[in-house]
Amino acid sequence: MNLEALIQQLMNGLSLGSLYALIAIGYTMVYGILRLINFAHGDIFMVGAYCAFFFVAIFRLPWFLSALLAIGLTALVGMSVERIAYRPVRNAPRISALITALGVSFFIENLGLVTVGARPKAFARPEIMAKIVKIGPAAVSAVSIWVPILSVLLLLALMYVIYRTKAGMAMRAVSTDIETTRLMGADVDRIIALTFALGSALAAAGGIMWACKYPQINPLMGIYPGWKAFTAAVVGGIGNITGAMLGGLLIGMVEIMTVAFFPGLSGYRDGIIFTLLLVFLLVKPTGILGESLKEKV
Amino acid sequence: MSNLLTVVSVGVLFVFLWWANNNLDQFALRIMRTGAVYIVAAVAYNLVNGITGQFSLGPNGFMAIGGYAMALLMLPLEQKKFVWFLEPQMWPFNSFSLPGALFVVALIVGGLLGALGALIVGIPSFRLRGDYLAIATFGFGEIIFVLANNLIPFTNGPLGIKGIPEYADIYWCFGSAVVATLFVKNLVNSSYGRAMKGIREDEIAAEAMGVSIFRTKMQAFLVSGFFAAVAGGLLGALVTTVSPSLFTFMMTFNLLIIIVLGGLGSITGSVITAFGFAVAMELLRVMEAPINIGPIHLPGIAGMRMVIFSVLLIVLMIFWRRGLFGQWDFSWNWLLSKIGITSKAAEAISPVEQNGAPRPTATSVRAEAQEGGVLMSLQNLTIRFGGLVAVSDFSLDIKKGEIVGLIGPNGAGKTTIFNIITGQYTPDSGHVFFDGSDITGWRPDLIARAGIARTFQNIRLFGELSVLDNVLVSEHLGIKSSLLTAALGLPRYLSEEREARSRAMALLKLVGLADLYDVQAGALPYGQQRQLEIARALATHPKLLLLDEPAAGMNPEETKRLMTFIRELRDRFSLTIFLIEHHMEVVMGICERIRVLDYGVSIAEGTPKEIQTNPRVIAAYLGEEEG
Repeated sequence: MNLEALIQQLMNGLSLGSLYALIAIGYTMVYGILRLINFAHGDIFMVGAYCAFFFVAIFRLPWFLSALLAIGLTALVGMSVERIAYRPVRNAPRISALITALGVSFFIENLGLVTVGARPKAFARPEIMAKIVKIGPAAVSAVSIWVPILSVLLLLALMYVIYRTKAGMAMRAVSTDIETTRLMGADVDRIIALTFALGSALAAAGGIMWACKYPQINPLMGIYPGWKAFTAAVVGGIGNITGAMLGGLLIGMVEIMTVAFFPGLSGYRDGIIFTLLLVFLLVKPTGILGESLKEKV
Repeated sequence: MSNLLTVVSVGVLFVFLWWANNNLDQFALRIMRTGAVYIVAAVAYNLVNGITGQFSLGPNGFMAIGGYAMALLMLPLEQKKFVWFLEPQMWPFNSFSLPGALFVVALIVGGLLGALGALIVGIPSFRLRGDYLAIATFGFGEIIFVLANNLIPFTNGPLGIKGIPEYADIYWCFGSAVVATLFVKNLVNSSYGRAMKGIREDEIAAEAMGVSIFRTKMQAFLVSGFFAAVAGGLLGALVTTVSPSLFTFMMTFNLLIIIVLGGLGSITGSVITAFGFAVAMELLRVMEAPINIGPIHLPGIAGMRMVIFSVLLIVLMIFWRRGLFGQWDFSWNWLLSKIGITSKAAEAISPVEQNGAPRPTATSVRAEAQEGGVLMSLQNLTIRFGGLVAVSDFSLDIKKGEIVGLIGPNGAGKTTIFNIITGQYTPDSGHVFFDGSDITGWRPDLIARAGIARTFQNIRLFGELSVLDNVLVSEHLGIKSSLLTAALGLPRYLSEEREARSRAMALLKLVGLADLYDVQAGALPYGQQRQLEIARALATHPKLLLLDEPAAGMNPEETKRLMTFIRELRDRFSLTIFLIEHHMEVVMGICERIRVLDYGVSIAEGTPKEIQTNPRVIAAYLGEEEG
């Protein structure tokens, strides 16, 4: 492989990895707080892309305003999902919550199929994303540069919220011990709602950027990115935000490089990611950064 | 009696099938066969999700394994050449094909491969707590899907393998359904099944009662993988094609709906709903097809069925978690008692030994002989949680036959010491010696097997299980028959089961709960739950019994009775007892020796009298002035 192709593939891997990281954070935050795998998170990602699409295509709003509105609206959707479906089963056996989450996931996907149809829609991306940029000898799509940059900015903003604000402190407290946090007078329901809002907003941002990178959107577009991002969260150490970022980058890189270096294996790329997951569970079950939790007896 | 009734009903079923085969049309027969295949798959799935409480998303992957195995073995040679027309088929499958009479062999081979697949996913998933099984099984399903699509010499890729002879006739389908259902039902009602339910109810408590978490989950998963693969083989020989699209995640989603609607944990529910589902699917198909009523044309809406199904799933989970049958299962005894032929109580209690308590076992006799020696020695135990030193340099020897008390203010680290002894926590330094072995860092179930049993301060019964089953979970430790012996209901296992039951009933009698044996443990009042915890701990045949605040919440009258009871226990079972208690009356009344803990550090030890007058103890309890 020549230098040009290598740079292109690296940028591809980096941008795909950042997108996985953005989604993975939502999984890992919810898991950290509720010990729930939010199977619907990948579909929230899809909702984000569609919201932006509709704001641009139907309401004719400027692209960046549409993106912001879409992120806000998706955060509301995420909060509603928590309020309507997850809160009632919060104290139910864990398996009930997992089944509910899977149900919500299928509901969003199929509601999408029924309402907007299965036919992919062309996503309009702004000029600034569509340009081709030169990095050294390589011509790289601008979106591959924008995605990592925007992702890093979003992650810094998230870190600020989590580690520098009162709400963030409350979120960290809830993830350590939900009952004690309640006893300390914090409104646990609101903190959980906020967690879903933040996670969904990041997923929406990811969805919109994904649509800029692969400008065809359909109601099932969230399934694979969702599962792979969850894999990334596990590989990074579930419950750990930095771990989710590292895991996302790793998965994105592995996926792109597999195809780049072994074109014959391109049909196997999803299989390779999930094999990596099984290997990780076997060799380093707590992930890159996760630590095993001492369960209270 | 029950067995006879089962044989008769199966006979009646097959007479009906024979009639149906000769009289019903192909469409009806096809729905029936599909229903039977769904029964096999659903029963297998429920064993993992409903009985053991582990969220697997794997059935489609295991069914695919079984389907492909069957197809590769059974597809006639000519048809093989025809299917693999682009690339040649892989050796050795291109050189042989099994005759139709060996269909069962193909199903079993597929089943074994399914179990092998379950082993491969189970090992990484069950090694640690958490919901890794969901993602691992989903990933496994995807890996199988990717392989099926790409390994063309093996699977013929996306086109799949067509033209499989329709071996899965009504007898094979229903025969498999009967075998799978009876096997799983026997298993669920056996000691192995109770261990699985114990894990579902409370993993920590189950492990403390000697249930090996990893092995038990794996057993459920392997059986489930086997039958799922058999169902996959049947399905392939029913629709005459196996292809990646037959075994998508949608299959798993359908099965999930079936077991949730029927009741997670109810085999009866899975059987009925699986069959009903096959019929309903045909009816619901109408919704997605365009409808023409005269001139009116209604376009079909793709995905509508799935919208309804997913809403159904969510609504079920929020409002009707038990589904149709909850965890209830049909049994002949239930039916017979309903129509007044036998009484249910008589069935369960009849084998109770009349002398009231189990005879001392060989080990307890040995313990008695060696009374006076050190049974357990705790040496320099230290454990930290983050920056907090919860227990610091704690040492204590407990002699055989002693009753030792551990007291101290709240948060002193008493329960933490129990958790170290029973293996829930591993100390940062120090050792636990028990009965001659260094058991530091052992798994809790192995420690329970070594002879240490405990009760929990915050009561951890298996709430949904009956009082008797709670005790029987602990008796699992003594069962020697294999899982197969138990699931096949062989006499060797049945006699073990009878003995375990009579021992368990005797223990219940001892704690005064014999009459309540079939009540749900979670429904008992608080005091009786504590009693049941003691019975459950005794059923592991311990040498050392750890009681964590046995008198909590008891009135003075009950407390007095408890004290007599604890002494009786020690004498009757040759036990050594180590207890944590806040009721000073209890501690002072029955303990021969008392250790006082404050902020993780031992501050005093002595006889009750010495402790009562020790100034440091008084200071720790009442607080002392700074200075």
